[in-house]
Amino acid sequence: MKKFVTFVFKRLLAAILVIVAVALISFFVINLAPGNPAVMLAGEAASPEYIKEIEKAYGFDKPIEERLFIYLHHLFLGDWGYSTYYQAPVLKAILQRLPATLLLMLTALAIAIALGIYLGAVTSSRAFSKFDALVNYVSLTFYSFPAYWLALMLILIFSLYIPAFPTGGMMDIGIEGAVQKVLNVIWHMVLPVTTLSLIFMASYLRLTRQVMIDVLSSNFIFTAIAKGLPKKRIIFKHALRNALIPVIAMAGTQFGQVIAGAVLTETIFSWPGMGSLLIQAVTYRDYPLVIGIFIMTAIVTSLSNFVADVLMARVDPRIKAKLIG
Amino acid sequence: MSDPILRIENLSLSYLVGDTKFRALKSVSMSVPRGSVVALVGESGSGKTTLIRSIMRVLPKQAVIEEGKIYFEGKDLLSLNEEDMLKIRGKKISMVFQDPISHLNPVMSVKEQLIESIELHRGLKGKEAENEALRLLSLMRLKDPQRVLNLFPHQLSGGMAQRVLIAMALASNPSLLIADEPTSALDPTVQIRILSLLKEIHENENLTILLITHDLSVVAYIADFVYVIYGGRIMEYGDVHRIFGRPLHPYTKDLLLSLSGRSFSEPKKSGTLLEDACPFAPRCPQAIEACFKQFPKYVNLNGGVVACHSVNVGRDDT
Amino acid sequence: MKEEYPLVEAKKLKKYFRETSLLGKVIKTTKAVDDVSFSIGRREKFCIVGESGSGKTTLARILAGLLDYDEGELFLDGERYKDLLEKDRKGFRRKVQIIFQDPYSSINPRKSVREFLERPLKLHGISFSRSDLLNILESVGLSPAEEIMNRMPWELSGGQRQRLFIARAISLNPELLIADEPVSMLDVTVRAQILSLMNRLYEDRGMSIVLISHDMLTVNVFCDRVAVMYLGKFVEIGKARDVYSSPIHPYSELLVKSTLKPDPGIRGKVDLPEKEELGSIPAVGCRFQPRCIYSVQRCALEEPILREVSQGRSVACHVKGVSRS
Repeated sequence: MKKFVTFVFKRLLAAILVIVAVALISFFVINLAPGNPAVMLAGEAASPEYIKEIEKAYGFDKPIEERLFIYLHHLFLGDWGYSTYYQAPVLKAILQRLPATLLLMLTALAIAIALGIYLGAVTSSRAFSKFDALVNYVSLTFYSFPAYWLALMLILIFSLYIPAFPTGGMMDIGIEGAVQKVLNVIWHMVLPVTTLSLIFMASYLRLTRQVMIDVLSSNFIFTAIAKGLPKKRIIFKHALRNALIPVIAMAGTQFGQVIAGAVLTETIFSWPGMGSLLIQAVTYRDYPLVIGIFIMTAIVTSLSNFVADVLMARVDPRIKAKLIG
Repeated sequence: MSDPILRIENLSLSYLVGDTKFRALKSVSMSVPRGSVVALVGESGSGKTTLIRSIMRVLPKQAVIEEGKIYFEGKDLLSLNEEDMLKIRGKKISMVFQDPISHLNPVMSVKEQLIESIELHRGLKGKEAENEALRLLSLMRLKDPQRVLNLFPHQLSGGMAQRVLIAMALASNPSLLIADEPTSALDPTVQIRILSLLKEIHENENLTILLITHDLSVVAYIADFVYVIYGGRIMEYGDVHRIFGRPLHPYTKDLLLSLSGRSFSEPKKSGTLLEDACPFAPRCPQAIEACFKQFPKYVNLNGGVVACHSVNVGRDDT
Repeated sequence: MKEEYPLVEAKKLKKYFRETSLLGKVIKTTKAVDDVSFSIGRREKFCIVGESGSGKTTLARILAGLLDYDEGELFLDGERYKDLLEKDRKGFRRKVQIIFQDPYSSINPRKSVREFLERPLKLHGISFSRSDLLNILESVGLSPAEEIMNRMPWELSGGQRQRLFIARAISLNPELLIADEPVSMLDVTVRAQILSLMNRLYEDRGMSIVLISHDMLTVNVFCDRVAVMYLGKFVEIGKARDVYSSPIHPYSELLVKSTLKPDPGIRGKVDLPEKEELGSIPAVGCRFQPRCIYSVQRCALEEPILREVSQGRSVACHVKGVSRS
């Protein structure tokens, strides 16, 4: 247990180091870019008084080391600058949008991973059968669709031809009651989640299937067969646990990226998340916001990698021995 | 040879790869009496792995059983459906393997893997199952079974892993244990300990063992009765003392000689042989013309049974 | 002209493997080869016998020049290995060749037998004709050579491949052939054939052979002299015949007694001279002491050194083989 605490501590330290590194990069981007960094932070349309105020607050009149320290201090305190487009602090703008993205992404990833692993496991046990081929073709087809195209097709079919789901948004106006609200959000989520899950799923399916085929030919699987275990238990208990490691590793790295990554899907479905926030930030040259999203992505990536490490250590005692000791 | 627990009758099996047929076993008959240790001796490609897989009914799709029967406790295993086979595989017939560490699931603890067998085959649960696991591990002469129970495969030495595998195999109280090269991946000092453990279990629990090996010194240590297999055919069989004292078949003689680092047979040659030829003929220094045409009949000789033309010729002379 | 030197001489050879943490802290040190001294004569068949973890494979690789040693000195024909390898790596390779345990791996599957054989000859700029290649194949018992030469390596059996490796090793006419468990993955009859092939080559070509093995029976059959290795140390050196028939060091005795005898008449309960309770490797004292039934108090305190007990026979033990003169 003590070892686990040290492990968590070390990993968190590493995550913080990564975040600091990202913060440093963003600092130098601001400070080394041509022009007045205060203008950059304040936004091009800011009044001269406001720019003065920023210069003073961030100490742009001071030497660079001191400025760096002040910058990091500000970051740590949650002052990530001011979004010119939203006329609000960057962190507040981000935190307002983060939950919607997390909801969409976590749901889509969870469905994609669960289905991908399940189908990967099932197809691997019947590798090279017709069923296997069918699942592979279908999943690859979805994988090769561009997200925006798939999203538009789903809207076309399930909102316009068959008006079963809304074309966009997160919740209708004027919904009363907690249960109704939840149901309404779920109803809005169906199409965007389907889009993202179908695209994500293919990679998990293919990875799981590939690893499972290797695992299923291992000696210990023959032991499980010779033990007299039923096939289901061999596949889902003995083999799958071994195949999960690379899947977890992949999910860990993917998660951080999707935070800012589902730009097109969110935009098409007018989903009020980080993706559409990023689009707006870029469109309106809202640099503080762009940098803020950049830092937030780094934080989420570090955290999700950390979670993936903990999960892998839980699944595989050899990794546990290596990581934790 | 009364009451054989396992009896194989005239088993012929081929692998069908595309349109090509590869013969793996040809008219193999053997019998394992209850309470004995029977060794099946052969080298790679002899068909011994195919034979085990036929008994366990875990043959790959390409395998075609052309004829023959495998009787286990009176039931023909080849005619059972998968559901009935699950009542025998792992329960009445257990297996231990070569290279024990790779035969344990790396992400499951010893406890999980051992208790899985106990629960499945004995219906014990919780504390009872755990106590049984501890009992089995101490039967394997593992020091501190409680500690071993909580280890993972990568923390075990080869000898410990093999003891765990044997414990797992015994968890179901099987009536037949198939030991497939159980010691050939182990260090010599560990090998002899594992063999004496198997011998002890055989004697104390009256467990029938079918030992598969290429190493005659292992056979000498533990087996009562020996079948020598080459190229999918049984070449010779008999009592272990007779096999070592008066080997009949040139292949058996060569196996014995090779223990002292010598060999008189020719290196294996590739090339096709007539279906009915003696598979050892191309390597055999005593081969005569008939060997390439017709597989010899089994004859009783000096208390053993052998299939060899040159031995037959020798007998006719006397 | 260099006859005054032994072919190989090792003085206090050491090779430690250190596992380090990410921060460079040494977590575990494995003393694979620890202060080992010996010499190998011309036209000698020298064996190193030991179980897994004894360091015999590491030593074989050092002898083959594939692995650097940490401390001590190693000479070939009176010249330092390090100098030879630095000055003239190719020349060294011509003199010292190694074959490995697993003939199934380490062959490029796309190269034919002929290309496989030709490569070292071309590399060393040795001119050869087609009939030279055929002769080499015939000399290792690969026949019909004409036909085998045009095959692909994966079409050969395990025994045939090991012959092919031997053919390639001897094609350079080495002075020293190192064979690291060359037969342990092969069938018994094939083992015997490979060993007698090596014996014949030894007699025809007059090279020295170092055979690494875990099997006392093989050692006894094949070698002139044997070194028994345990956890990085030589515990006994002597004529193979003598060590096999009357081992002095308790570990040698254990190895010999563990060797199964092909005689069903003498089987029965084994009486191994070994404590079954295995402790960890002691930091001080004799490494074999935790397993040794003869150990006395001194064994736990002081590491025994290799001492000559009779002509050509050395033993490292406080209890056994202490010279009676």
